[in-house]
Amino acid sequence: MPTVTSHDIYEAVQGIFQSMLGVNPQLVSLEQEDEALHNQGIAAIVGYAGESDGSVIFTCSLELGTILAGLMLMEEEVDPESEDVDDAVGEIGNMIAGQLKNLVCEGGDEVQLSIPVIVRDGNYRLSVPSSYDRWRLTCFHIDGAPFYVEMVSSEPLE
Amino acid sequence: MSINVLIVDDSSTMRKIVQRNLKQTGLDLGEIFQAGDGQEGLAVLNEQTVNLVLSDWNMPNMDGLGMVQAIRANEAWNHIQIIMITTEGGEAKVQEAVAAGANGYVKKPFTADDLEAELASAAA
Ligand SMILES: [Mg+2]
Repeated sequence: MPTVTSHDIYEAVQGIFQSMLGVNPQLVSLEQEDEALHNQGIAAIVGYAGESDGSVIFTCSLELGTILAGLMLMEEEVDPESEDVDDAVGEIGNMIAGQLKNLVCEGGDEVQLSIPVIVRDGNYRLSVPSSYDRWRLTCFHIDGAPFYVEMVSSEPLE
Repeated sequence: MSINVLIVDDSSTMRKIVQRNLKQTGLDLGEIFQAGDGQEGLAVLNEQTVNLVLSDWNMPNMDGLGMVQAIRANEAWNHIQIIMITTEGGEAKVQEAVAAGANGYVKKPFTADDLEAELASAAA
């Protein structure tokens, strides 16, 4: 089973943001946990299961989530409370999880993705069963606004 | 002759992105229909004349593969071109979709150029 490196996560995120949103996120850090992480406004959680299993979590402020929805929809005015924001953030999580599961399980064919689950209003604590302690956090920013990609895996993460 | 297109994806955001990219391809487009899953997609095909289906794979109720199989089981829909647009990027998945009767395959994330190239090769 191949390992997923921070660089893999970085490349997957870059590719998605460049081609689907037309923006170029900057990498902030590969390891450091940010205190504000789970106080952010919106998160998309996408599980995967099969030959290998785990979760991918995309987290950002509601403000940035609304901007990202606007970029995807090419609409200037998006209501932060609307389902459009949930749907767009969920689809970003879905695409990131899709790319990473293809890496964690070569080709990804033996791994199924869950539907994206959206968490709003933050302030939660993420806890993972101790047998699944392979956890990786990658932080990015777009024009100074941070977002986070977390991966929890049954396989070692490099 | 302009072509009528059905876009099937459970994400409304993705349906809009596919529609936008489709309009950039220079195809002579007629009507564009949308559906949120395979069952809704088949319901549209029962009501409308559609020449091209662009479908996601992972969807509730009926997934994209189930819908491709249902389309190919109906002779009246033999003429319909089907392109899968999905995060399911593995080679075995591509083969499975083609074996079920899909004419092409675009992996998410994608650009308008990716879609145009796949439409051209599926039509060739
Ligand atoms: Mg889907």
